[in-house]
Amino acid sequence: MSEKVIIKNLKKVYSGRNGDTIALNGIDLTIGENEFVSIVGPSGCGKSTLLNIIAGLLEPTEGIVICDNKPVEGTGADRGVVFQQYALFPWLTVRKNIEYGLKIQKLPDENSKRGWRKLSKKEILEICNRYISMVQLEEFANSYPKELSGGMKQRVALARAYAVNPKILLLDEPFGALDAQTRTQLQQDLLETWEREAKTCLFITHDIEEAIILGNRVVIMSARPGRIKEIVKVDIPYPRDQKTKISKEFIDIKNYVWSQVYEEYLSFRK
Amino acid sequence: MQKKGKIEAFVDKLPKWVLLCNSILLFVILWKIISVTERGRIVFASPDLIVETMFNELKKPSMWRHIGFSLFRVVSGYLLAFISAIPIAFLMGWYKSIRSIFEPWVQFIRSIPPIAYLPLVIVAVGVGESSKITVIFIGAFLVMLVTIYQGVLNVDETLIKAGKVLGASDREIFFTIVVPASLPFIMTALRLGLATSLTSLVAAEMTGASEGLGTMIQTAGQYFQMKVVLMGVLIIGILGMVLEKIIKIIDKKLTSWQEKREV
Repeated sequence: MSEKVIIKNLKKVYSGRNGDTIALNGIDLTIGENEFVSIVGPSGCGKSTLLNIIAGLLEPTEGIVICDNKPVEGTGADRGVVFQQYALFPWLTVRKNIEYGLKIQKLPDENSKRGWRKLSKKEILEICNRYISMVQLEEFANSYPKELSGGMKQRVALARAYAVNPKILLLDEPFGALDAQTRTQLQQDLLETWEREAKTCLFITHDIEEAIILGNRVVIMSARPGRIKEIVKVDIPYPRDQKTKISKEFIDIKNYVWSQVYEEYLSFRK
Repeated sequence: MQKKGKIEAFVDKLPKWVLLCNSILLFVILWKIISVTERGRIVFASPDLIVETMFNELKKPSMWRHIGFSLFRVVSGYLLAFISAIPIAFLMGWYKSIRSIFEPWVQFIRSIPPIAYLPLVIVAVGVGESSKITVIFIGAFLVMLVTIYQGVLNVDETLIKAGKVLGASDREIFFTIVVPASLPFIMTALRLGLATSLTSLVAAEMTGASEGLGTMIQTAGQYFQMKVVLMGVLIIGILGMVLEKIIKIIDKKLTSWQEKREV
């Protein structure tokens, strides 16, 4: 497995009225190509800060993120993000939301004077159709986000992120606002999508079961300042499904991760 | 849902137009009652008399000239205000440097009633049509400016982030996210601006005019013709309702994507 994302000695300090808060400190992490890494940790441990730095939405105070051998500077379509709040454009239909990234995408093209070209209408339509059917929303292609349930909205957001074909997919507690049933369904959908179209994924969650069922590895973070406490390898072969959750291996890993996170929680309370 | 009384439950089932008719009917009845009392009679002519006067007046071309002039002033001041408010509001919403300079000015001028600066306007642009349009323009412009730039400021940060991570440039974010996301506020601005335009109409026509609803009301007031005053007031109200309805229809077409609470 080649290295896709290298995070070196990352530090993030927020300066506020009450002095500086160290959100992240000394983060070192390497994510392999097509690897699925989950991050868990108590709230306030800087998980989202880490994701935002990799996405290029935040700048680190110290350290560097290297993505595909290039240091990250600002946002780019090579790193897709799925937000917890869906972040769909409410004035666009499902189809138009998925098309959005495709319409502004610039593909390298040697034959063009500018060195890039835009996707043709036909290409956009094809890609869009593929992802609409991937998330099974054909019937709702022309609906507006307000007509969709929370689970459907998040499927659109996933399709929108997938459509521009990012090298890395960053998911920031994407299922956090959904009910347990929808959540399980979407975990299953994500697993199937990821197995069909392999992608390097970084998945942030506070749900330990979710982190284990999806990930190749689970990164446990400690709070204030956010550090990596431990990385747990999940040696359960894919395809995984809901039955995996009752297997002995799964439960053992879950108990272990849980005890580690709980320890963090206790020390944080002190 | 909370438990509702019998009357509320009954009203819930009635169609909208029935409720509207009911409201108008009650208004007319109240008006009629006031108009037959001893003190009320001096101010409020009875509704049937007003309707009669209105029909008679509307047959005369002079009445239509009053309406036409007023409508022209309101609509021109309003549209000019809208066209100028849009770019400035977006600049103020997008750039903090611009906002920090203009915001205090806007807030300051906004609290001054138009009548107070009327003499200044007259001296500056004369007593012709331009002074009326200017007065209406100032009021409507400030209201729309504030409403729109607040809207631009309130554009959901996550949507901008979503655009960025999909590869949008600043320019693309502005035109494909900030502008459409501000649309509901633009529509609100249109409605508030209209109300302000109509409110400042009477003040605007105090700059001296021979025609216009405001002038008509003032002249009638001086001669103590309360039924003409009342009729003028009513016509302004009706004009406002019609214009508001037009904006509502446009609003529905443009912002039907919005999540609205069903009331």
